[in-house]
Amino acid sequence: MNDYAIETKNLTMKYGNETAIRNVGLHVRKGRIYGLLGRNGAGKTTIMKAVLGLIPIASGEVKVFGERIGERKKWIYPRIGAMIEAPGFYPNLTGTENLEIFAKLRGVPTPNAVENALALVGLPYRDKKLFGAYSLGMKQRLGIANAIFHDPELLILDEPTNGLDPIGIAEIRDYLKKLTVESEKTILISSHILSEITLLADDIGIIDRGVLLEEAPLSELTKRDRRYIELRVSDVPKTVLILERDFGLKDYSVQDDCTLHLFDAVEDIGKIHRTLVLENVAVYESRHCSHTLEDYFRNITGGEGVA
Amino acid sequence: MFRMIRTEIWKLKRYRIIWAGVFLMLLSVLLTIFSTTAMDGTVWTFSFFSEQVIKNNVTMIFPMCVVLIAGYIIAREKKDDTLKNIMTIPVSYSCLLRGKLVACALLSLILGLASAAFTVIANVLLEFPGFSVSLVIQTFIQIILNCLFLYIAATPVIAIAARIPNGHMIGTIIAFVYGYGGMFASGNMTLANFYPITASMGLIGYRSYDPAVHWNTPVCLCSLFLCVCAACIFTLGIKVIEPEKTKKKADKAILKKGW
Repeated sequence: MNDYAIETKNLTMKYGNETAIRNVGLHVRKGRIYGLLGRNGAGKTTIMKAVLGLIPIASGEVKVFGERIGERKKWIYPRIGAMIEAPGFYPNLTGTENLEIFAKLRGVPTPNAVENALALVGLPYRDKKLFGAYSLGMKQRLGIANAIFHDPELLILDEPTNGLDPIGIAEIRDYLKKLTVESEKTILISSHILSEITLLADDIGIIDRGVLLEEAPLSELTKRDRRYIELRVSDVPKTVLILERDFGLKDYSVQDDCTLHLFDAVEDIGKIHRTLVLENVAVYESRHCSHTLEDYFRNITGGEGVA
Repeated sequence: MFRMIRTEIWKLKRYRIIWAGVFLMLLSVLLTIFSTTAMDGTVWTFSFFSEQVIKNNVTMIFPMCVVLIAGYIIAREKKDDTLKNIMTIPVSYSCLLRGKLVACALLSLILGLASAAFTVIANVLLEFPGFSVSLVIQTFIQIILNCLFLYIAATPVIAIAARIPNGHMIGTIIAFVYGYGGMFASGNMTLANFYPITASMGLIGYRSYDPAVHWNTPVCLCSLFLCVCAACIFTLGIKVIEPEKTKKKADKAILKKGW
C-alpha cells in the first residue's frame, strides 16, 4: 500500500524555455503536514499547480493517492481541496454566494457545508458584503473555506496565512493541526516564512531556484539547530591536542589559524579555559554562539530570503 | 450540464455589463427614432417602426452587443482567477464554456425582451398609427426570437474568441463586421437565406408580407444549425491557455558611435 498522498518523480516544469522546477522528488506522507519552504519564485506554486494538474508537465510524473494525475483520473479531484496563489472568486457576488456556486458544481451533499466552512474560518454566513470589497485577510479566509467545505482528504494550500492577522494565523494553524490529528487529513502547505512552517509542519521540503534541496522530518532538521563555543586562541593545533587529550572532545571545527568552534562543550568551558592557560595557550576570545535552523536554511538556499 | 447552466446564471448576478447590453438595446430604438426625423416621405407606422428596430438590431447592435457580453463573461473567469477553482472540481473548460453559451442564450432573450419593451414604449410616446394589441404581441415575439436567433448566429464568433487569449475585443470587432455584412446579404434573397445573420430574420418572418421577400425557412434553419455545430466544434477540447511568464526584455544593443 502506498504511504504517500503525493509523490513526484523527476518532476520538471517549464514556462516557455525557462525551467521553473527541475527533477523534483516530493514525498508527502498520508496524515502528515508537509511544509514546502522556499524563497519567493523558488517554484513552490509551480509544484502545487503540477500536483493539481493545472499546468502541463515537461517531464517526470506526479502521483496523488498512488495514481498518476491526469484527464482520466477525475475521481481524484474531489478528494483534494486547494488554494493556489491569491484566492480567486467572483467579485460581484458575496462570499456565501461564491461558495454556494462551488458547492453546487461539486455536488456537495451536506446541506450546511458552506455555512460550517465559513464559521470555521470566521466569516459570516449570508453576509451582504461582496467579495470585491473583502480585505486581503477575508479573501484568504474565503479561499481556505473553499478548500475545506467538501471535506477533502488532501489539502493543498499555497501560502494560506498571507494577509492574516496574528490571531487569524494562530487560528488557521490550530485548525490545520486539528485536521491532521483528528481527521487524519494530509496537508501540503507552502510558505517562505520559516517560523510558520516549523510551528505547523511534520515534514519539510526546502526548495530553491526550482530544485528541492532537502526533504526531511522537522525533528531531524531541528537536530541541526546547535549551540557552540567560538574560541580564538594563539595556537590552534596545540588547543586541538589538549581538547582531544584532556577532554576527549572530537566534535569541533577549525575555522582559521586562530579560531575554532566547540560543539557540546558548553558545560566544560571553565575547565577548558583554565587548562589552555596553564598550557601557555592564550585565549583571546571565548563566546557562546548558536547555529540555528534559520542559519541552516540560509546556508543551503544561498543566503537571504527565508525568514 | 444543468448544474453548470444554473451556476452560470447565478454568476450573472450584479453584472454591470448586462446593463450596458440593455443600454445598447435602447440605443437601437433611439437610432430608429432618429431615422423617423428624416424628411424622405416615409410613412411611419407601428409595424414599420418595429421592423426598423429589428433591422438596426440585426445589422448594427445585437451581434456586437451579445459577443461583447458573452466574451466579457468568459474572459472574467481568467481575470478573476476563478478558473483554477473550477478546474480542480474538476470541470473542463469546454464544459464551462458550453454552460456559459447556454446562459448567454437566456441573456439574449432578456435583451430581446428589453428591446421589445423599448420599441413599444417609443411607439406609444411617438403615437405612430396602427397600434394594436396583436401587433404589440407580434413585436415582442419577433424581437425576442430574433435576438435568440442572432445569438445563435453569433455563437461561432464567441467560441473562436474564447480560444484566443483576451480575444473578446477581437470577437466584438468580428461580430460588428459579421452583423453589418447582413446589410449586403439582404440584397440577394438566396444569400440572405444562407447568411446566418439574415437567416435569423427569415425565421421570424421579417417583412414576409412583401412579395419581393422570399424566405426559405428550412435553409434558414439549416444555416443556424450549422452555426450551432460550428460553435460545438470550436468549444470541443478547448483548453485554458496559460500565459507564458513574461520574460525580461533583452538589453538594447549599444550602437557604436562614429566609424
